[in-house]
Amino acid sequence: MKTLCLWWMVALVMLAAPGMASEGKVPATGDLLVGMRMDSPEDPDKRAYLGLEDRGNFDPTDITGRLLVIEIFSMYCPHCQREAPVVNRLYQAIEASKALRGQVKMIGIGVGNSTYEVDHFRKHYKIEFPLFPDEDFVIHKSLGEVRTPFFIISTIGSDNKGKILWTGAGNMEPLETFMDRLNGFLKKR
Amino acid sequence: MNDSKLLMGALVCAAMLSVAPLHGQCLAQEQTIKTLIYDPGQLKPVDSQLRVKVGDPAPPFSLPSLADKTISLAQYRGTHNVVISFVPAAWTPVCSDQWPGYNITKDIFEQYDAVLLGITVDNLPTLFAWTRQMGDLWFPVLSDFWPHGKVAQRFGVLRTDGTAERGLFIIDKAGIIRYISVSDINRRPNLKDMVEALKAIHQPRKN
Repeated sequence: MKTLCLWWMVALVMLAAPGMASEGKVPATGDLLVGMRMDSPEDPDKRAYLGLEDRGNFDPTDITGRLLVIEIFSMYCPHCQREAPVVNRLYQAIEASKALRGQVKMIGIGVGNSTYEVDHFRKHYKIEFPLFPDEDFVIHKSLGEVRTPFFIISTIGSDNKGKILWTGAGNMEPLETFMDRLNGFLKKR
Repeated sequence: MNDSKLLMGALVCAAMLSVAPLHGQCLAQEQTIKTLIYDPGQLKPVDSQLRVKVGDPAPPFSLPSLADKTISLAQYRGTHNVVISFVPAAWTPVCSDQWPGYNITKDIFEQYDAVLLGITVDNLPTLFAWTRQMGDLWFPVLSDFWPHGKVAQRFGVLRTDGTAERGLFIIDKAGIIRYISVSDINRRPNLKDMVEALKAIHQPRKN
């Protein structure tokens, strides 16, 4: 009887383990952003861009604006390296657009990357939007360990907070397509 | 076996099995390459005994490289610090993104008069096909294939299965080993630690 109980315990630990190892699933349209708490940027300009008043933790839905573009990347991923200039052009196009500037924000999350590594990636590619480390893969696990690069567009602001409107994996689409999509989402809301 | 030993055994067994899915986080992240990576699962973190220590002269070696005929450690004597990155094998997790990461750190190496030599125990054709997936690497990739793993063995980083450890060695301009990191084969080593070590031994060239 005691042996039977022990094997029940083994079974319970086994059942619980996958939940601990990978808490989330790959995000899809209609899902809510979850498990993405990050440290507020040290750089006051980056905090101002995101509309965060002070240091400490924040959730992406705390960011001011109406839409958020999130890039899940790694400094060690050759595809992310190749895409970095394209993603930079997207940020510049958003900032140059009267309709999108201030309404659409961008962040990047470096999965498995330390602060040092994210900072190196930022400097190497002259990335202007805020990047955050996810050194211990906590966010990566909450996102179902998506392959990189992975892109998410979600709502932010007072209504429909953190609702995912679109996701995309791999290479970025042509800039115009992405901009049209952002403009379209803004008009619908 | 008494109950407490049985309980301990059962829990250890469960814990070991439950860790297995975690190695997924160490897999190479890239989209296309991922389908080509052979996943050996969770491996013994370190499986060799170092044969050198910090302060020793580095064992001399010459190895065939992808770009040039041979590269010798001696050719950098007096001019460059040398970082040797041993990785276990081509087409395996972690290794397949470690070098692409180093591929965007050329400026850091140059800042500290350093070169990077990437070494595996694979043969040149395998290394060629594998590194083509990474883009153009700026640093030499050397093959320690034959006699198999001879250089890895001299440093004491040849594992019992014939692959190499995930090891970083920094050799200064005088040929002395100044930094050794043989890290968990299942994880990517921290870039900052290596850069800090390079910074610490760096003595700018006198013009």
